[in-house]
Amino acid sequence: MKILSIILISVTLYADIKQDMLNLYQNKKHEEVCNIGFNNFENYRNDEEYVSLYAFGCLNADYIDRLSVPTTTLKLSKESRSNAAYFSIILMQKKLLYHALLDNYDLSSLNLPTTDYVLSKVFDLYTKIKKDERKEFYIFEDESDKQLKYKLYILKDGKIDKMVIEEFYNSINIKKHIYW
Amino acid sequence: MLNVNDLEIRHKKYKIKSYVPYFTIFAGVTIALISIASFFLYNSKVEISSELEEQKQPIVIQKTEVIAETEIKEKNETVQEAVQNKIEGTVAEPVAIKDNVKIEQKQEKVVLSPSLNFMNKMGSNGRTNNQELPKEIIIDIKQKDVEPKVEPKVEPKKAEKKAEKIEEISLDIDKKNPINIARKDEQEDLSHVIKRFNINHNPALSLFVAKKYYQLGDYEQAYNYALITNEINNNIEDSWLIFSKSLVKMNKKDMAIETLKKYISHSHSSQAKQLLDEISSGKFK
Repeated sequence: MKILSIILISVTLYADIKQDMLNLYQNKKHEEVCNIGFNNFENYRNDEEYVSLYAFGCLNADYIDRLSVPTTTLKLSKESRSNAAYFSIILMQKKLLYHALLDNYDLSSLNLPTTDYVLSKVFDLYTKIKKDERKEFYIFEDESDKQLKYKLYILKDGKIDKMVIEEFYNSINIKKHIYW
Repeated sequence: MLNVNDLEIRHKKYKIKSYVPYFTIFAGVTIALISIASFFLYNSKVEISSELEEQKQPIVIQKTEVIAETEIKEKNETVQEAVQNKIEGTVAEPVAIKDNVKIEQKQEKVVLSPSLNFMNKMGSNGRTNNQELPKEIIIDIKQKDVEPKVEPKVEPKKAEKKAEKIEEISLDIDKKNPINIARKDEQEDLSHVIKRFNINHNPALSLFVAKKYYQLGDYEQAYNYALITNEINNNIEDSWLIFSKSLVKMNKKDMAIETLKKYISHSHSSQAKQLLDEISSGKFK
């Protein structure tokens, strides 16, 4: 009887965490989703729905480095594999762009797949720049919406240099993403 | 007398005739060897050309998938090496492959998109989007307004007084209707934003107004401002989502579905697809 009650409690707790994460995600509390997912990852690493939700939470909260674990875990279904590829491209583009900005690494010869995520858009625009056109900061215009602009620069603040992407809509700053 | 010269000539002829079978055998063997060698060489050529065709196929697949240029270059090098090792005369083929690769690389990039179908499966068991209530947000705002007044570093007497004040405020909030209080603040903010929007007609501002009205539960105003935003710029995804959600809230589900379908056909937005699924399945009400 005790064992049965323990199993029942654990099952309901398990369902509750997932449901709570989903509700938080739908309410756009992505950072909370990412943190809950991160803290409970070891217990639910085999649940691909949980891992996917955790990964999307982290992606929308700009915790790109946390995508590395879900990328390697998601593999059992077609949807999971598709999402894993999606996350891996974003993570790779982040790392390449950071390397290029800090170490002047040439990305112009690369022709990677792209995504709808802001990092991918900026990455694609950056790869089109010629090597001799390197500057302190870059302002790119979105290809589909001319009023949307991205400012890309390195923030030398503290121990680690940070890569910053600012989104401007009609010259109003609407979002700021900081990566390192 | 014996004719020695004649005898010598006849002896030479006899000697030459005795070598003829050896010659014929030697000639036959060499011809056979040459023919066998040429046969094997021909086979190897056929094998190499078929291998080249096989090696072309993965490159063609890569071309359609547009993998990084460096990988393709590596492939080309391996093809060239294979050819050079086997025969030297057929170098023209990999050159042709290289040209093809360069042409294909000019194709458009592959776009990876996220798949959010798993959320529909998860949401089918319990609570859904309906929990995205403006009440929650209003409570949050209220808490944020109260919280800054608490200063832990202040002297004990002052802190006590402040704590009392905070209690009073919280009691007031309990007595009054909390939603109305929050709405007043929101309305003030909104009126400022609307004034700014009327001056510069910035779609970012009208979208902000639409979102705020939606959060406050004023779906007609949310619909109006989302419509204005769409008229100014029809590429803002959030605006279309608010527009459709407001229509659903105003009991115009069919119109919302039609709008979303048109938008999806135009933009292929994954969020719009998810919302469409939720609306059509009745999860979003």
